[in-house]
Amino acid sequence: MRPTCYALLGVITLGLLAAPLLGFVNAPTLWFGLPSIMVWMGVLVLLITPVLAALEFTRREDGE
Amino acid sequence: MSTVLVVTAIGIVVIAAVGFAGRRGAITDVSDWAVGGRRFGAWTMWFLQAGEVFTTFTFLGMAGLAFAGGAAALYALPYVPLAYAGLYFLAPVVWRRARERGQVTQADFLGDFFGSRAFGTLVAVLGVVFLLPYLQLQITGLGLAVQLASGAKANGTVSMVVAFVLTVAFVLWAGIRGVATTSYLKDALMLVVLLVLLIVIPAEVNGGIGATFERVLADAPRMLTIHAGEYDAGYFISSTVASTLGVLFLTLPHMWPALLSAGSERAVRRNYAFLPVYSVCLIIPMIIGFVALTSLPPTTSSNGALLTLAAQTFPSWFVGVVVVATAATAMVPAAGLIIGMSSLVARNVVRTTTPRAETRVNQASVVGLTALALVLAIVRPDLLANLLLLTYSGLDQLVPALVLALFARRWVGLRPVLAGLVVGEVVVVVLTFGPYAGTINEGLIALVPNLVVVGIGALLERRTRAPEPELEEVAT
Repeated sequence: MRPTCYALLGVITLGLLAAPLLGFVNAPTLWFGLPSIMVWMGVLVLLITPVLAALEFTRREDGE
Repeated sequence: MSTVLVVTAIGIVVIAAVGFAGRRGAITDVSDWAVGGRRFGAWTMWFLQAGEVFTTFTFLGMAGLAFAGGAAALYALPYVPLAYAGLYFLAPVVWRRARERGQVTQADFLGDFFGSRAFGTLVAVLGVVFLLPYLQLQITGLGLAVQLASGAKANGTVSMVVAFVLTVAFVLWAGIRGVATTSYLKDALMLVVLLVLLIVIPAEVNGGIGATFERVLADAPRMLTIHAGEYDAGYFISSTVASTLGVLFLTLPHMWPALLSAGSERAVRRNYAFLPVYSVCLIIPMIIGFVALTSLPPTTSSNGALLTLAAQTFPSWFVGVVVVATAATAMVPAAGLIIGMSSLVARNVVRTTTPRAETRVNQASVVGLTALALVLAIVRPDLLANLLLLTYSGLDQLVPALVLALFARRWVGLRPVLAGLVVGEVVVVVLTFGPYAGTINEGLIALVPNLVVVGIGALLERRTRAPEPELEEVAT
C-alpha cells in the first residue's frame, strides 16, 4: 500500500510539472467545458489529499 | 457614505473584533504569543495555514493573472499542494526539533543548527527585509479593493490606515490565537463569496462557465494553453519548481509560527495531508479572470478585473461584501506576517536578556514594522514594490541551509553555507534588476551557483578538518 502511495505521489508531481509539455494536456481544447490543462491540474491536485490520507491512516502508531 | 463603504467599514471592524476575541487568558511571553503554547490541533492548524496561504493575491491577483496570461495563471495552483505533500514528511522533523530546543523562529532553527547566533541574526534580517514588501502588498491590496469599489483613492488610503491599525491592535492583544480565529471567519467568507461569484458572474456575462470557455476557444484559443511569450513553459515550470522549493523547505519565515503552534506531530501531518484539497479553490478566481478576458477591454487594470465584474453584476451591498472578503484576505495573512517578522526581530535581531524586555521589543516591532509598511504603501509604493521582486527568489537562497539543517548531523559547516547564501543573493539581485530578460525563474537560476559554492566549500572543509558533531553536541 505505502509503496503504491509513494509511486502515486511521484506520478502526480511529474504530471503537474510536465503539464505544459504534454501535447494532449496543453492544447486549446475543452474537457467537461473547462480548459484541458485546468482539468488535468485540478484532478492531480485533488488526488494528493487521498494519497496522503492513505499514508496517514495506514502508518504504524508512533507513540503519540 | 456609500453602501459599499458602510458594508466595508462594518466588515473590517467585525474581522478585528473576532481577532480580539481569539485571546485565551494571559499571554506570558513571546513564545506563547507567537506559537500559542504549541497546543493547536489539526483543525485549527488547517484554518491557520489556509488563512496565511490565501492572500489578496487569491482574490485580485489570480483573476488578474488569468485575465492577462490565460492558462499561465495555473502556475500558482500546484506549488503549494506539491510543497505540502513534501511537508507531510519534513515538517514533523522541524516541529519535533523546534519543540525540543524551544525554537520559535526560522532564525532560531538555523542559528542553533549551525552553532552561530550571528548567522541566526543574518537570516532574521533577510527574513524581515524580504517579508516587509509582502506585508505592504497586503496593505495596498486592501486599499486597491476599496478604491476600485468606491471610486475614490482617498477611501482606499483611509481604509488601509483603519484596517491595519485594527490589525496591529488585535495582533498585539491576541497573538497567533487572534490570527487563528480570524482565519475561520476569513475562510468561510472567502469561500461563500467565491462560490457566489463563480455561479453568478459567468452566467450573467456569458451564459455560464461552459459558454465562457467556448467563447475563449473561439476568440483567443492561445489563452487556454501555456504558450510562447512572457508566460511560456519555461516560466511555468521554473516558477512552479522555485515556489515549491520555497514553501517545501519553509524559506518564508512567517510559515514557522503557524507550524510550530501545532500540538502534536499528528496534527502537523494531518494538516499537510488535508490542505492540498483546499488549493483547488484557486481555480475559481481564475475562471472569473477568463470571464473578464471575454468581456472587459484589454486596457482594464488586471488586478481590478474581478472587482470590476463584481461591480457590474451585483448590487452595491454585495460588492461591499466582496470588498470585506478581500479585506479579510489582506488582514489575516498580514497578521501572520507581522507575527513572523516581529518575533524574528525580538528573538534574533535585538537580543534581550529577560522575557519582559523581549516582549517589549516584540510589541515595538509589531507597531514599527506595520507603520513602516503602511507609510511606504501610501507615500512611496514603488520602493517596496521593487523589493517584492526579490522576496521569493531571495528567500529561495535559504534552501541549501534549510535542507542541511534537516539532518541530525552537521554535514556542512557554516562557512560554505554562508558563502553560498551570499553568492545566491547577489545573483538574484543582478538577475532581477540587471539586463536578464529570460523567462526562467531568477531564484532557481541563482540556486545553481549557491549550491556549487556550498558543494565546493564542503569539499574544502572535509580536507581541512574533522566532521562536525551531532546536533546534540552543537553549542547553542
